[in-house]
Amino acid sequence: MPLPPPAQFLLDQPYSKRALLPPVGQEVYIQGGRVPGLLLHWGQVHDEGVVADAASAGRLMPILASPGAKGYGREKIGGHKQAADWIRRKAPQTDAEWDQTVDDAVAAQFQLGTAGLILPSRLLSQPDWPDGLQSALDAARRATAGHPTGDMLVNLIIEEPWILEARLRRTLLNQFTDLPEGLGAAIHIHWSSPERPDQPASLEALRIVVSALANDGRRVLLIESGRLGWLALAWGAWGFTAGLSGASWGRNTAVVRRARGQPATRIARIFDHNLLHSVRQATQARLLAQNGYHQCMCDFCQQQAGRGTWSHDLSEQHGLYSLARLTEHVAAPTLAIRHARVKTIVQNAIAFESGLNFRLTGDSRPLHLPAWQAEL
Amino acid sequence: MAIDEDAVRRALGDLEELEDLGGGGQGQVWRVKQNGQETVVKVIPDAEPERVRREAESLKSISSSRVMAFHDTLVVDDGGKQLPAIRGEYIVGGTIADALQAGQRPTIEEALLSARGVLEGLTVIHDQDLVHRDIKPQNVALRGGAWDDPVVLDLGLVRDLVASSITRYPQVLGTLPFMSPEQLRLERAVKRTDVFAVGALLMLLISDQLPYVDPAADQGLGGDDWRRVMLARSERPDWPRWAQLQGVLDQDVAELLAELLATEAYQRPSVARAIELIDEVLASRAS
Repeated sequence: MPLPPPAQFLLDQPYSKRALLPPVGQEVYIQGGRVPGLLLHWGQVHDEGVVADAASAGRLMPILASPGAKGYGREKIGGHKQAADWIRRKAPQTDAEWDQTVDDAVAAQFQLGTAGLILPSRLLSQPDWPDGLQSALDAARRATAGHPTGDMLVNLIIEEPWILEARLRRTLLNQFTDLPEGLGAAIHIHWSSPERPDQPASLEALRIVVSALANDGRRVLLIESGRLGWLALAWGAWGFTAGLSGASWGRNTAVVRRARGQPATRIARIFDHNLLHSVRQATQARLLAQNGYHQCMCDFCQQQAGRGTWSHDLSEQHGLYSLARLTEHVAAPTLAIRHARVKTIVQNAIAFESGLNFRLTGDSRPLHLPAWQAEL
Repeated sequence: MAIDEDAVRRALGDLEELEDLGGGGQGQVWRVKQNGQETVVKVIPDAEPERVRREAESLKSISSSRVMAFHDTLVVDDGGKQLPAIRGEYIVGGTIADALQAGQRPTIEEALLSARGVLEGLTVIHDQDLVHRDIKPQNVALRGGAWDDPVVLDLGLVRDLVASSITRYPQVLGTLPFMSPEQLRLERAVKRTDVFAVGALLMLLISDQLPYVDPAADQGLGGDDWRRVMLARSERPDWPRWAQLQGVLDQDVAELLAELLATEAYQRPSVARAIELIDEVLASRAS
């Protein structure tokens, strides 16, 4: 099955609570929406779990699988079940090792019957400029020689200097656009802090990267990018992923408070599509009474409302549901229309916030919106 | 280093004609007529055997009327020194450099067709995952002297994209006035490095100017000093000197050059897209 057209949202397979994902697809389907896909993660889940979740994905489509090789040399994942073959070995260095890694990861994806192929890489840090990048891309070049590249993406697992620093970014783009035409990029950025991706410099740098690759006719999938990935659809990204794992930027209940000697407390938060931001439960209760507020009617919110205690799982399922619906709203055949739709939704969120009859405070304030608007 | 003509004769055996076509940093070139067939022999003094082998291998894998055909390699014994040489197709008509030196100037359409033809040659070269890295007037022959029938010569600096160990950078490879910003920065050349050079060649043919060269200011500059001056210009938004070229360049050609000569390689079109862009300009001019 070939990859579908741009504006795709895929759910990130987490290590635990994997059963929470198929109901999200089912709920989007019931509500008449466009069902998200599933990105399996060999880097986070043991081989058995990847195979099992591919088989029980329900309505989630398309299914892709990230070779996820940011950490090689791991015999087991989660302490007891075996990792995929190429992850059990040490990180590839020689051409032969790279080729073996690519061959194994591709064969495993063929076996799963994924909609496209993601070629493996390794985590690239600043000292990997330029040779580390070159080795990884050379392996992709060899792997694609003589093959159609339309449904292939190269996994780029990079630390933020590869995006933020002009010299590294230029090398990345020059080398990537030198790969065979049509070969896409599955980019997974490791940001140094949770605030970093929403900072103006980060947004501008990411826009440059996504636009350059998209202008070159390449699919760009932003892995574990959450709402930022949704924004990137306006720059030409083909798709993005978000999920339940701590590393995933789609997570909306990640704020944890610890006091000395006390157990950690997860703050009850929920993604609010009116604000394109996660707000505290108490804040959402006040938002419900505001003019122009569009209440989410998903089953997860209904269940939440009927419970006596806050369910973080339901909140996360609602967040993923919301991102799926937001993605569906901006899907269009041309980038110009997708861009215009994202821009309108961002402007509406800004207008909604400015029209509130109370001030949002603390981490409920959508501080990222002006920076987003500046990049649209 | 001049190569003894007798040494070339000895290496080739019975010859009907032997003409020294000159040469430069890349080697000395001879036209040879033997058994009624004309070929060129490029003798490469002081060349690394690996580079010669690479050029021969590169040429062997390429079959296109837009790239000089390769025949074989040989060794010239010049006073006891074994000099590697490459024998290939002789293209009657001289190079673009020869034509320019003789005072010839193409029309804009002819210049566009020359650039298009070079890009066709590069398509074949790039299909083999090779980068030429030294497109310039001396390395483009005009078959029969026709501007619309160019042939890419001299794959001496060609780089195998997947053999990252071959070229250790930083080192200056290429010819400065035709170098892209990434070459001036001593970074790895990519396929779109060749697209920049084609843009520079087209700019020269149409306007007599080169992207980062100021003939008056650059007099006396050589080697790394010149590279640094050009690199500094490549980082300024007013270079290439588009303002100065207004009135010389038509709008459609100016837009085309701006794309081919984009500062960053990733901002330039691929070779295939560059051909499409030239075709669009040619079609609009014909209509």
